[in-house]
Amino acid sequence: MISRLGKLLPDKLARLAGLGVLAFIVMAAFAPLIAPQDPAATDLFRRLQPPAWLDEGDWAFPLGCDALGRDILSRIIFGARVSIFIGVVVVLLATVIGVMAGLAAGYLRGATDRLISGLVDVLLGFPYLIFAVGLMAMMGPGVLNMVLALAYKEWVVPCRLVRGETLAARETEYVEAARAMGASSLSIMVGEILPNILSPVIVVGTVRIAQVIILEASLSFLGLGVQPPTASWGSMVADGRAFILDAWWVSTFPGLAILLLVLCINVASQAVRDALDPRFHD
Amino acid sequence: MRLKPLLILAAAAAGLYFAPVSAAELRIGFTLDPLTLDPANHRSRETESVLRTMYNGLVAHDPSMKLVPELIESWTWIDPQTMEAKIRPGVRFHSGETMTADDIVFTFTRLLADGAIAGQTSPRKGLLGPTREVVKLNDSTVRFLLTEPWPVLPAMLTFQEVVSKSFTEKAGAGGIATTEDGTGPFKLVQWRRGDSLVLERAASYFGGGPGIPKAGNACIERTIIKIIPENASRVAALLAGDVHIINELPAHDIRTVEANPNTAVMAVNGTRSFFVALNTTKKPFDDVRVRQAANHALNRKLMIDKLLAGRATKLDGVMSPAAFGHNPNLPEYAFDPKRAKDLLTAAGYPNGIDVTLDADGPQKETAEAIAALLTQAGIRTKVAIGEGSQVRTRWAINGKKEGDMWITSWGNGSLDPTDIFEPTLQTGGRGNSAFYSNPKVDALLAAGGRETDATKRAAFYQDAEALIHADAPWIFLWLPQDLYGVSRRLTGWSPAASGWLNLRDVCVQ
Repeated sequence: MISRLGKLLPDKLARLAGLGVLAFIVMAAFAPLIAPQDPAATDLFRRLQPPAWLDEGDWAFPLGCDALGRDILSRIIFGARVSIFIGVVVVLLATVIGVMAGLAAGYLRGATDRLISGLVDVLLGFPYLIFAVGLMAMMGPGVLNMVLALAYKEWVVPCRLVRGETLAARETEYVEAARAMGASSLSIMVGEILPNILSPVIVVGTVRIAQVIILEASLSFLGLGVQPPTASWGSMVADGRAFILDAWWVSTFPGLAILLLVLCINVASQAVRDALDPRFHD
Repeated sequence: MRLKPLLILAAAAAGLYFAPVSAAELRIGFTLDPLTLDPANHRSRETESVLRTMYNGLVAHDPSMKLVPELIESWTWIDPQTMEAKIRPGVRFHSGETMTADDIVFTFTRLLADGAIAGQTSPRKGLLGPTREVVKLNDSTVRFLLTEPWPVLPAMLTFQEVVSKSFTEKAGAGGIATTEDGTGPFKLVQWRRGDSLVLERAASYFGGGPGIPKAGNACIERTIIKIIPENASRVAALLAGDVHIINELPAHDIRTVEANPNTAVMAVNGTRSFFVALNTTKKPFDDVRVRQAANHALNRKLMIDKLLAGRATKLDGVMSPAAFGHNPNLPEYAFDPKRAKDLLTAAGYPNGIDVTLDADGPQKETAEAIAALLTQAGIRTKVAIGEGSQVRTRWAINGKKEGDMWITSWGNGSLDPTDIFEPTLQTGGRGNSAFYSNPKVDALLAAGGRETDATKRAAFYQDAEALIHADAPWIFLWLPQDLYGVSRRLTGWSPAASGWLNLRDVCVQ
């Protein structure tokens, strides 16, 4: 009974989390249709207007307004676009680069491996955020630059994973068989090894999306993210920080949005791992 | 009537109530750590505020910002290029040594000579304008020799603090940057970099200048200046009673501080003019009508009311109404979107213009508000937030002049027009971010810089300000008040427009 509950609960949680992620994606995709207000429309008369259920609130602006009188709910809805876009694009880009580099290092070994692994070690030596801040300061703010700054280091994660898996796979019989049949290195890497190591890559990718979203928020919080008036959750938290004593809603709601999306992705990705990782099957 | 005993009782009670608590401690929550303790080696207002608790200058301000002699007894002009100063006798440094004419000559030589600070030239040299040399006439008199007439010298002397010759030579450039030997009311006990400065009342203090009321009994023995850069943390420290004074109280926290029964807000008219520099060298702001349109497009009163809680003075010219030579008759750029659109149409932009407003992080909120208001009037404005030094480089006078508009500010601590007109509006001035050039204005500024007759001199600047108002190289914004949060236990303190902390008479009940 208890064990059944234990199995069911994470399953239901995962489903809920999956729905949550889906809801955020729908929200981002249809932001202009969902948002009650123009996220960039300022109205100084509504400066720091509280959420609707408090005194002076207004249901047209359910979560209240920021320092320039912009609707916080609408900005959160539009901000989901930035967070999800950057999370997905950075991880995709990093995965493509990381998988190629990892395959080459793990299969070819020798000088290639030393070069790639050396680079990976150097990059791992830098704290992620400081590295990204440095790059952003050099390149200037903006969405594209942020994607590049994050991908510069993010590829290391799938690369290390793929290298390890490839090292193990290259000694297996199916690879040996392919080699014996005269297949080229490239076709062995892409045709034989890659399909067999793909599931851990997908699992790690889903987890990393959540990490990248937090990093995006951190960079935006530090003022290195997207340019105003585009809403980004991190910059919304930063903008509200000054008013935290008397207008808590400005920072709190975008902060909750970050928390919720990252939580949903993490729980859902655990379910993905359970489904894909053979070690977790009975 | 039995009023007399009652009065006596009341007086006694008041006396008891106000009796100074001995060995009391004053704590200040301050935004920035001093860059250095060397009075000659910085260009930072905050650093100067801290240094002035330990050091004095030849000239100071009284509470109404009037100039008063401090370490000198008087100054007199021998001729337009020579000023004589009589040294105040009996002033002692914290080390116990008496201040002499040699110390003053040494101080100014160190400021004026190239490479005098361990091979580096003082960044404060520019604040002394055409001062060529300071020479000792006798033990109680020094003379300032200028290369051209410069009547603003006494006002500019408030920016320089006198150091001890023997201490500076002994301590070296490194020593004077981390320790002190000033003449001020407090001496340094310890400087924990980035954290706090611990100061102790200096027994040797001479008491201050004659224009400043005489110092009473020492109320506080120690002062701790705690560095709290984060606005919310600084306000929280005040509300919690951890500190008695905080500087740079954010306007939106005024309500919170006033609502607390133990704290209050104090304000003083600032000296820093805020404006949006418009690039006069390229389209669309090369056309004066477009620049005037931008000035009419902003509802500055609304912005001051909402963003600055009403704590600022609207400007239609360059500088504070309290400054010397301010023109009080400048017409207003009234908020008038229709007129703005008409001016744009007249300039050949019937469909409006697309421009970018540069700003650094601290100005983000104001920049976004300005952009939204300009956009409503047909000046469609994007905001580009950049890192401070990057943005400044972009708008440097010898830079590429690529930007459209930049929200910035210029401090005028001396409240003298030279200090703000010449750098920001003279052709090629180091802070001329609008790249403005008007030969008539240049001629007026040059004449004003030389003129020794105050009335004539003021007229030059009033004419210049009228021309600049009409040319509108800036969107004129406002002059914010400097806001401080204070504990209600604090007495004997008021904020100064100069930003100096003036701790001499402070008491904490």
